Amino acid sequence: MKTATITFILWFNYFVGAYFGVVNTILAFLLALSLFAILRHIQRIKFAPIRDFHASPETPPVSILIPVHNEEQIVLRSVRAALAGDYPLFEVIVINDGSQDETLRLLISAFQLKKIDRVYRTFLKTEPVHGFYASRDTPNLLVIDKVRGGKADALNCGINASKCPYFCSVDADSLLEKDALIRIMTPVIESGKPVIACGGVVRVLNGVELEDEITIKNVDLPRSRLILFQIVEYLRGFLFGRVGWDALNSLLILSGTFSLFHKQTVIEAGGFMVGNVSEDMEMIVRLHRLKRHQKKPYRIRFISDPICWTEAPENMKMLARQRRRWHLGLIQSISQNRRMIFNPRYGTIGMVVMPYYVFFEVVGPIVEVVGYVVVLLSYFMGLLSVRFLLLFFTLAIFYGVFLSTAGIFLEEITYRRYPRWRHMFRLLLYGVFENFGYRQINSFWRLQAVLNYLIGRTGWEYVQDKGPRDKKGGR
Amino acid sequence: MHDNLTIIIIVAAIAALLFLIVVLLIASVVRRALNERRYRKLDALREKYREQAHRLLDKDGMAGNEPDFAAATGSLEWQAVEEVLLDLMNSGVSGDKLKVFFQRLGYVAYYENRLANRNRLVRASAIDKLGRMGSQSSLPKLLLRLDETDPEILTVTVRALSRIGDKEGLMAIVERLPVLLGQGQVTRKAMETALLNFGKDAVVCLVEYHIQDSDPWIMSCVLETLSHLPSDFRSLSLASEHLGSTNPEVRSKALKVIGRAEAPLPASLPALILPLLDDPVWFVRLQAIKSVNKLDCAGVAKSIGKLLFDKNWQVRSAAALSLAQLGTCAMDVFLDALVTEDIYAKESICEEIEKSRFVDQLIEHLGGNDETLRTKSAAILRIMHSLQFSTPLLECSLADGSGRIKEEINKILAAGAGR
Repeated sequence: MKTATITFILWFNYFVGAYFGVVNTILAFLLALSLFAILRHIQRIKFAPIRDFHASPETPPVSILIPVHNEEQIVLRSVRAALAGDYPLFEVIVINDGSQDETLRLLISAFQLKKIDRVYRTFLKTEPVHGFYASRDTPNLLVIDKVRGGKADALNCGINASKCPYFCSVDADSLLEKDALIRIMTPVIESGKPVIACGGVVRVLNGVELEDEITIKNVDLPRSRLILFQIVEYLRGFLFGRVGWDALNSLLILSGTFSLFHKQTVIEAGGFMVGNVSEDMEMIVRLHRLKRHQKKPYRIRFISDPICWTEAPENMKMLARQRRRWHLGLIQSISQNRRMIFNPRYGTIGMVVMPYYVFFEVVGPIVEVVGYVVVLLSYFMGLLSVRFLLLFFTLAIFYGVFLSTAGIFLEEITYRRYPRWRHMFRLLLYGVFENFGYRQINSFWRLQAVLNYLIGRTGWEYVQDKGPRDKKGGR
Repeated sequence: MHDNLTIIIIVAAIAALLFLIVVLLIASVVRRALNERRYRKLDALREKYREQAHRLLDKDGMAGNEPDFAAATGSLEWQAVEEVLLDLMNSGVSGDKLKVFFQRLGYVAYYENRLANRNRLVRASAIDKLGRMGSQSSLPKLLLRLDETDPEILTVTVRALSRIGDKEGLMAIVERLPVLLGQGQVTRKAMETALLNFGKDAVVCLVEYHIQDSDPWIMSCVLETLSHLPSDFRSLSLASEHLGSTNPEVRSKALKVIGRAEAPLPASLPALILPLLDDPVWFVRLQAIKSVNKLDCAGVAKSIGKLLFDKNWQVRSAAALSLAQLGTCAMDVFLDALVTEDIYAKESICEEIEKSRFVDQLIEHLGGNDETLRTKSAAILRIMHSLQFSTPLLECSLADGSGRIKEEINKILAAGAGR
């Protein structure tokens, strides 16, 4: 028995070493790709035809869909920010998904909405609609009041009511920059292949000073350490994760906080899946599946210059919920589309991207957490010298620090939205600190999500009271 | 031996990572320091040159003042002057004077030289700059770029030519439409946006060059562009010639040109448009409704009425909206449709009557002296109420005041089975 345990531990150590090596090689490759892609994109922005598209009647109209549930504290800010967008033709559709607070009443009084009679065409099946509200003063705003059915259901309801060929999903706790829509639409207009979905960068709103409630006045860093860790994570995730996958035309995740979709394609795919806690990722996977089945050319893009600011959770409890939900959504999306894995019919997505997500994203936290335990066990059983143990941990931490520093470096050479010296040093510092505890606890939450999935606990974990509610963020 | 090798590998990896981290840290710090210095200087220079440019433009123009703005190529001063002058051009200040000024300061020559650069992005950026500077003298060199095969260069060149706005550039684009559009090197939206930049000059050119064009993809792009430009007899004539095209997209775009025309339509057009209300393709029928709306009311309402029962909801809605816009002469058609069993058609009608505010007219008729109108309006409103389209009635009934309208509405509300 003891021999078997020792053999297992030894082999597991080798496995962890190899696994670590492969993951890091892939990440390094993505980083190199992102660096190349992002620098070229920055050059392209200089001659981007934003002004021409802004003035052109040919720029396709867009519906901004904002699903809200009990968002009385922030709903007006989000809607006003969306309405203030700099885009030739757009409508804002707010879907009140069974709020029990004052969300609907606030909207009605702030925008002087009146109930209107409207035919509700159910291209996508949703929970019943109570009513539609519109205003003569703000003709491009429509509020739908409906029975609670979750975010996916609310988005489907918004799609049913939308009259535009494209829609952009935006979370209620997010702020779109004024030119974000026109920037995210640029690849749609300019691409030779039809772009059926496009995502932009999401940044952390906490700590940012607002003007008129809806305009970014001054970008600052909050005091909260938890938020600083998340800012470093967002920079890394958006500036090199997604940019790298986009360069390979293999995006599997676009943030539901801010993504643009071709409406008819989403309807063809059956709309957002109710019951999946990460409806955004699941939709992207299904779009790939649909288009590969149809054998039609398509692109799903990620662009690094359109920006949406969102609130990040400010306490561990809420952050844990959010991360568990994200990981559970990833597992659900992969599991619901498992036929694509190693299926040559789906090209790179089936043969490379889906297996990567299974082996390194879904299984990653299990290997990491079990790895910590086994490596420590090896040490205590005398199978591993203290020198080897320390070296291994040092290597893991240095690699983490390298990735975080690379994320901050990418931000530095591109958009530099954190303007002060102290911002850069604090971010660099937190890029180091996050490897001592924060990263491990994140892996633990992801492992919890795996376990929850295995025991069938797949409900939506609600994240309440996420971020700043006052003019200056960063409580 | 085996362990030692592993340890050596790990130590080497750590050392390499440490080296990379330090390099990234130093690069971030150095870049920030350099950028900060650079932008501080650039801001000051921009401010200086902006003031200087405004002063000169307010006085007697900029000619002869080149030395005040001259700078070494690629220097910060060079960049600041360029940005200030381009900003002024964008704001519409003294465009022609600034074009000459750019030339005299050497910007045009500099960017023309860069057109030969091997790097695609450098070339694209130079093309864009020449376009933004409105450099007409660069036209021959820019036209050569239209012979490249790279879609990005072609898109930027088309856009640059459209910004310069010269007819020669327009002709060159139009002549190459089969290659640029037909081979998908420039997207249709990008092309249409660029063609619109040429303004009404584009009408003659597009009509002349493509009157015989048989490629439906190009023809629909041409017609789409024409639909957004001020219409004249030439564009209407081109559109009417293509109403009988075998390609549905061309038919629908031809209808769009006609639908948007401000000029009175030729007498022969109704006979060509009306049959398209029965077109087998839904978006042609949809466009036909919008165009037919421009024709004489009495003759048209009945034809549109048939489409209230179309299998496509967009066509049904467009028909209902079109009839609602026609107003009282469509009341009989509405009444006929509202007594059928087709719930989808009836809901579309009610929705559009409300949205187009034709409902206000119907309510107004309730207080009028015309008995026929009053009866018909009441009948429509009663059916709307029974289908739960009652909000305007409820609003009127809850509003202050009394009178005949309110009485009639209360009767409808009491009788119907609304909410």
